[in-house]
Amino acid sequence: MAKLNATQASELARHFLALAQAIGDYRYRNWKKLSKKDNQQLADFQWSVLNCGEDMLANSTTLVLDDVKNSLGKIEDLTVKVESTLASLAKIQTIINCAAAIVILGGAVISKNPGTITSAIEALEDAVT
Amino acid sequence: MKAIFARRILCVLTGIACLVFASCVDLAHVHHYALISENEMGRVIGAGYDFKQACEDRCQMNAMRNFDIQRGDQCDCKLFTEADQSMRKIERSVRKYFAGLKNLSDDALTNYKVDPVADAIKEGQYGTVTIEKKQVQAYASIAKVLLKASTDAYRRNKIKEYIIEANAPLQDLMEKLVFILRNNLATELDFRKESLYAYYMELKQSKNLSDYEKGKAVNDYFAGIDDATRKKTRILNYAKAVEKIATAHAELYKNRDKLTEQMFRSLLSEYTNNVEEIMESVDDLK
Repeated sequence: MAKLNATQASELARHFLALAQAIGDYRYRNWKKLSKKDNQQLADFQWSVLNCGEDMLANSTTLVLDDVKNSLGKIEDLTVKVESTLASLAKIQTIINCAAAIVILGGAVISKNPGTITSAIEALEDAVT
Repeated sequence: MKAIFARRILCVLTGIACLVFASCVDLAHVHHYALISENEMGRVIGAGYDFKQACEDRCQMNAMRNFDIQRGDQCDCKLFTEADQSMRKIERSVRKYFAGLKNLSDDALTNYKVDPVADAIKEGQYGTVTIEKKQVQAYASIAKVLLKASTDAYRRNKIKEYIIEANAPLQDLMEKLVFILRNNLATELDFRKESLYAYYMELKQSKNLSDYEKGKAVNDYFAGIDDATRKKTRILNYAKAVEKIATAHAELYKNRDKLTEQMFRSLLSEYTNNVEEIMESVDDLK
């Protein structure tokens, strides 16, 4: 038997709602005529139909995921690409900081001042990390 | 000689500045749209209703009807929890895309600080080259403007590329999300209303209630119906907002080559305002 799709399951749920309403209306109209046993049986049927309909709506929602698998994959891949672009744009600031630290280190080496060289190396380490 | 050099620098700077302003400053409206879209997606949680809640309400109703109470977990809501997970998976993916678009269209992203470079280059004599203080400042400014122009052009191209790639799957996902909200989640509340009606009709027909209890039952019934109606309206409004967000993205796609044009900026702002207004009405219903 063919499987229901999300739209069919959702439509079926609404038919179940209409069916439960019809059973209820019949019960309320014929309350006095129905035997206690028949009324109880109809009531159980009415509530089961309501419960089935609600289950069907949840089912339909889960089935949607099958329909969108492809689109979901595409958007997730794209999001990874966007994040990678963001990361590469953010990296530019690190490169600028590194370049500045290298220039400072170069100046320190030319000056031959050990104290300045040490602090310039530390600054470069900070810029890289 | 120095005057010629300064004039050339000024010309270059002016040219680049024009390029920068022409290429990047108008992405603020895309940024605002993506920000609002990211914030408003996932509002079902804020709307105070989901499939699991539908299951728990139903379970409580069945327990009331049969006067059946048990210690511990009484409801098996696995199916409904799975439905919530499916819905959230779609929402999460769409939200993440908008978060990326928001960050990528944020002007602050390419406002790089070139001060460390300017600070590093000291004025002085470097072999045959003499660098003056004002030249250091000019180089830093040029570097900043050049960097901004090139990264903004790159950013704008990437945004365009991503909008093209995203539009079809995004439309599909948002259409399905609207389907879930409108056809399934909102209909759960129609079932809730029918269950309330059936429960109170059974009470009414049983004729075992005192006058006070009858009044109380009617009150409870109306309170239950009112609550379900409010929740349903919130969900339907949220669906409407999702639809607007999708339409706005379709416009973005259609006008991807006119992103900076005033007419398109106004159109996108209008959509964004609509989404905000709809979601304000969702908040008002809480």
